[in-house]
Amino acid sequence: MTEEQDLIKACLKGDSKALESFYDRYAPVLLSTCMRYVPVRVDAEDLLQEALIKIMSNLRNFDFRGKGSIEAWMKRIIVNLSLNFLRNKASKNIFIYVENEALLDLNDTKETDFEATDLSLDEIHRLIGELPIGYRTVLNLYVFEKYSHLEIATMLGCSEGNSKSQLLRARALLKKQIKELRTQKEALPVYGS
Amino acid sequence: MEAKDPLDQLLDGAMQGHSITPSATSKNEHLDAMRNAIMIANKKHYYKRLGLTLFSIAAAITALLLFLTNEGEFLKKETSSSSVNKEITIEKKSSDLPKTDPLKSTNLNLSIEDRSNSSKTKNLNNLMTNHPLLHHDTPVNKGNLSDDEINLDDEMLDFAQGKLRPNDILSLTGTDSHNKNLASITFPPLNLEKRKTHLNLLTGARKEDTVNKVAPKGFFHNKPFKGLSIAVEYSPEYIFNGNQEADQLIHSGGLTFEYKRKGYSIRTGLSLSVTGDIMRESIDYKSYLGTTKILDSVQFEWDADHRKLTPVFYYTDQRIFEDQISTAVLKTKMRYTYLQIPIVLGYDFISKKEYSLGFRTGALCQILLKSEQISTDYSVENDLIINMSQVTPDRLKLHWEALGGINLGIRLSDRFKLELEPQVRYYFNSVYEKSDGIDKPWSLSLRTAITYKLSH
Repeated sequence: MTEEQDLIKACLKGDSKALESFYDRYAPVLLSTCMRYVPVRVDAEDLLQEALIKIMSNLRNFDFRGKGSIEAWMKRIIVNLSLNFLRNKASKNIFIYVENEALLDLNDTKETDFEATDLSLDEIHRLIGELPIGYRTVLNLYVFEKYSHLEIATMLGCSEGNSKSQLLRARALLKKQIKELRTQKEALPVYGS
Repeated sequence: MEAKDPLDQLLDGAMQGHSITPSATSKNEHLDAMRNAIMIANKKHYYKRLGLTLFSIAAAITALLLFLTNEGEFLKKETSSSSVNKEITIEKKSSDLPKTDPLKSTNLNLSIEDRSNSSKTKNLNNLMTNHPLLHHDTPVNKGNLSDDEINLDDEMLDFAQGKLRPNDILSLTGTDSHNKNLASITFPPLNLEKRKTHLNLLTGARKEDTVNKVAPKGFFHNKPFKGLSIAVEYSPEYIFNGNQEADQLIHSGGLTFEYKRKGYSIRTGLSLSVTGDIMRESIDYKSYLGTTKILDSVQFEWDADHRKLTPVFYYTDQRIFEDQISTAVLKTKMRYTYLQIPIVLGYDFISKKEYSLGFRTGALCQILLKSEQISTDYSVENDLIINMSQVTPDRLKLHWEALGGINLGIRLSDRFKLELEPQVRYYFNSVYEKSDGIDKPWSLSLRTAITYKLSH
């Protein structure tokens, strides 16, 4: 029996320590996932609570399929809750186009000079959170959750073309923001060197 | 497949394992929510399991009762009840046949339905069709028997002439020697509930079986109640390793049903169990110091006689409390009532006329029905309560116990029996929802019961 399975078993018994350990282990990852969709921390924490209740209620029925399966299962739950939240909040259509989108270079997809070390994870996370709701949702579902455009279109109730277009715009806007952030960083004086 | 964008690769790679720690306040709220959710889920699970277990047990007991009360004779019963198509086969063995044996009855009116010209067959057919117990269109099938091979003895003729009792005849069996084919007469339904007689046409031998005995009068003498007994029971139980503040003595009483066969028994029923406990609550309060009057307003009224303004003061009573917060532990005496459902299997290794001795083992399910507050040792009437927190956890709504014991049955009369059953019980979980520091208890109990046997 793996460590994860032991933890699940202890949680099912209602063991307080096990629940806390479970929380410490998975809640930060779930909150990060949630905040990629819903950047407002208060809303994200509420959604996290909702997700945790749902997870605990269904933990007994969870079919353990190896290491990481529980995290994947929990991420699916929180992503679905986040999407529901966005749908309710947007009430009509989550796809909004940014005002100055004409300025975006939509063909700038060949650029390969991104390096993970350039920006901190928190900065990337923040930049994703700052994307318009539609761009952000499609980008998250496509890049992180690995859904196809057809699946995204079904989930969000839009056309496949719309999903592709949102992704293209999201990438372009994100690149633009990353460039701007780099420029700002470079402009800052470096002390102590 | 769309080529992966470098930005996608960057994001996917960089964001793997990214985490944001929830705030401390949220963490506490989330943990509480998780605890509640798991508790509710566990309760649902237990109730579901309980329901399924009870249903399975009920189904198993019903099936067992049905099977055992019919003594495993479903097939036989079916045979006897298949009187809708009784078959008479005429045995013929040429070597055994008394060749000169004539058909004795010649003075009957013949109604020929058989295609054969055999007078014997016609006679037989006629005898059967004219039998008072049979339908008149009963066909005769003589199979491959030749005319000479048909032999009817006195018994057969007796039957045909209606001399036998109504329930005597069921079957006449045999084979023909040449082709081993059966010659048969098929009868429509007969009322054959009491006895059946097999007549051998060759030898005239008559074999009689008892099919059904006449049931004695009385509702409980019916077969479904055979081996079944009902008991009124009382069990004092002394519990160990529980909360030391709780009552260690538990009283339970109820009604149980037991089915016993060949020394083996299964027992179930319903009983109520009553136990007491002390519920402790921690209270933060401000002590009551007294009441003072606070001036609300002053109204001046003109006194025309004395030509002056008279003040009228309006006060409000205000309770004054100590500034410092004190903490007290409130002890409340509680009474809990549980519904107990036992499932107990047993075997009597000694079973004599005067007494029986055996062992019993099984499980007991306890469902919390009611919790009542009996008394409290602290008055909160005057003090100002700031905060209350429960120290003693709530009791579980459902818990299971395993039990085992030795059963001594002392026969008081044909039907009444006194049972004494010392038992050891082990609780599978604590009786409290939060079992921190409280072990799974075990207990000793003495089941005393008066048993009434529903059927001899």
